[in-house]
Amino acid sequence: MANPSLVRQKLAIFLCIASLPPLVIAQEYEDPFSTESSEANLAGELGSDMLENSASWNFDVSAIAYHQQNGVRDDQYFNPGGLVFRERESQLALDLSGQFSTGSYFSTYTRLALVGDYRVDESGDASDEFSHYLLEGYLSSYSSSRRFGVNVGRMKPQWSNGYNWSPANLLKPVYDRPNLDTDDLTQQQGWDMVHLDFRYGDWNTGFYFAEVEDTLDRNLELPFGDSDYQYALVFNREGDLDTRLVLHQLEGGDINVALGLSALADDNITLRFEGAWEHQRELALAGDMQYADLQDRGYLKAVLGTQVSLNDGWDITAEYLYNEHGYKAEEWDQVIEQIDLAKLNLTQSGFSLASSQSTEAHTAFNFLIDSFGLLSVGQLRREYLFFMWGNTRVERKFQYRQSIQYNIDDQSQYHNLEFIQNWTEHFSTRLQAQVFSGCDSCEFGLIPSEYLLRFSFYFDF
Amino acid sequence: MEKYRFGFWIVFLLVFSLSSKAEVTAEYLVNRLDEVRGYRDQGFVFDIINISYKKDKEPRTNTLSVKVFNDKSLIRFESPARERGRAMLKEDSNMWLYIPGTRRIIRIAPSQRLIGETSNGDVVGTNFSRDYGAKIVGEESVEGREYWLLELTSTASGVAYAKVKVWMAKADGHQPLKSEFYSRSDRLLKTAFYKEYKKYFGELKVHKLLLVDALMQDNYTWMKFDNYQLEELDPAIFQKASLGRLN
Repeated sequence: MANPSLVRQKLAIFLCIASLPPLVIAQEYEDPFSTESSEANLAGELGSDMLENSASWNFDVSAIAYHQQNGVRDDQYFNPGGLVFRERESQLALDLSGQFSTGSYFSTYTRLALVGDYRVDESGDASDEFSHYLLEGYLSSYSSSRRFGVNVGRMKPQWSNGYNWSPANLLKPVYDRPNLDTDDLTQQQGWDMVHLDFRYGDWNTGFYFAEVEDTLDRNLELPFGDSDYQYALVFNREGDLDTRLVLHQLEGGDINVALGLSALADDNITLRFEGAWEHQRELALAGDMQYADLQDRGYLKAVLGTQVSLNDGWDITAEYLYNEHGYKAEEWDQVIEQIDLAKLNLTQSGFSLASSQSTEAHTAFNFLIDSFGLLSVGQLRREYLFFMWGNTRVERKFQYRQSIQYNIDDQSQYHNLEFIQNWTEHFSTRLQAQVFSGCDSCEFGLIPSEYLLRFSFYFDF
Repeated sequence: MEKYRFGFWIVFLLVFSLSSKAEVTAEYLVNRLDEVRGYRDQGFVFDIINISYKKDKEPRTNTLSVKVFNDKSLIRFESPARERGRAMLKEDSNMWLYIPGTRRIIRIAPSQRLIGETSNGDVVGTNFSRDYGAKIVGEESVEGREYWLLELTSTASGVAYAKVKVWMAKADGHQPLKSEFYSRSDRLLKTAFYKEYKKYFGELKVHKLLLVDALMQDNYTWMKFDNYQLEELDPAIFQKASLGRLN
């Protein structure tokens, strides 16, 4: 039996300890800044730009390497028979960027990508390629108040406020798939332009005069190919209701308009709307390929989205896309009918790539190749949903992100799953799986790979 | 005569102590609390080094450079290397995050600031005199020194903490000793210990702060504030377009 006085004594000691103010606890936390050496080391991390306010510079290098295995479909609906698809690919890329500034009056920014690719197709043939890209490189000069500035060079302005779709990015040509291939640095290549920037309070206005050039040769033979220049006037108001109005015109063309809005709905919910109305249809209409008559009243692309932030750094993002550039059901039926007809023509003529054939056979072959090129444009149909959830916002060792893009018109789906491991402050890895599912003639069922697995390595110097 | 003199001194001390208490109002103290963490209506820049500790894990260091003017702040992530170049613009409850790799600027919800290192920034970045009502609720003696106990209750929507208790020195300077941050359900979330002050341009500013998680006391962060500089900052700097720029 316990001694009551001993119990009381223990209880008294416990209560004494429990009632100690937090100040006493604070004494146990050793000050990491107390030694000179740690202070010196940490000061070094702040870089030159923080030590010298008048002239500053910054240089960043990141390395990206990945290996990817594709699960190629046995049959791809648009394949005339001569196309072989990648089964494996590896890439090593360096992302180099530098800034130099002597204050507001003069600064420069450059971003360069060096990319080495090694690919093996399903027939076993291997190829490698080394490329370098000037993603951005421009000179800036601003007044001391920063209210007026001019930027000249290659830039990639970002007018969208969303995650998966960016209708407000109206400059052409554009290849903007933030969630399809995050390792593709070439998505960040800008346009050669002059940009005038006016700011006042919560307002700013930008005028852009840019070249139209498909410098990446993505074979997007789009209707704007005849224009050499394009212009844009952008009005922004930042605050409780972020508002952005973009007026864009291709040389000799009509004015396209985009409107972006974003706001807080609650302490943990953000809302956004983004819509663009354009005269030119986005889908490729190269060569003899024309499935449907173009409408003359323009094309609307609009996104409605929200993000809900949960405890512990988890976020859920949802977006709905309405896309008049895409084919409606009867148009898509025509596409498939013409594909079927082209394939029939090829079969009947006994077409092979090695031999010379009739004009009809070549026309049919080219039609199928051009149709296959449609897949690179994306958003072939009218309505889509996008959901994403993950905990990547907060720096932590293990991060997870999953998303699904759902084509409402044909019910095909694109799933993306990522596990990110931040091993050290410099080194991270990412394991990614993508699955494209749907019927043979549905958008994501047409992607040559049924699935892919990618293991990426990142080192930030 | 002796008795009268004694009585006189008693009355004098009483009046003096009452008058000195009357001079120190809750409003004065909350203004003082803001002053030791910034320069109120003037533009200024400073650097923060955070070292975060969690049980059985390597400490994580991150460094931030901050520009502040009134209720607007521009925060640039300097390290770790993986986050270098990220930047955040904050204006009241509006916050935008810039991701350098994709050049995207995304609006984030105020609740997101309660997670990770940015939550620490919120503890020190709050404008108490504007967003909280204050009253002196008591006095306390800690290690032989006397402190006012100030209680702050949120009056603005979107603030991170519903209630804050602050121990502020009765001595000249009225420097805060510690603060306790409470949720809407009156749960203690964090305790901040103002460990060291340093003079910048003749004014004392908090230099080192220890932030302890109330629920998991093995989780704590040391923060060092340094290189305070007054700077003329035009509101045009606090725009989203500035997020990717050095100057």
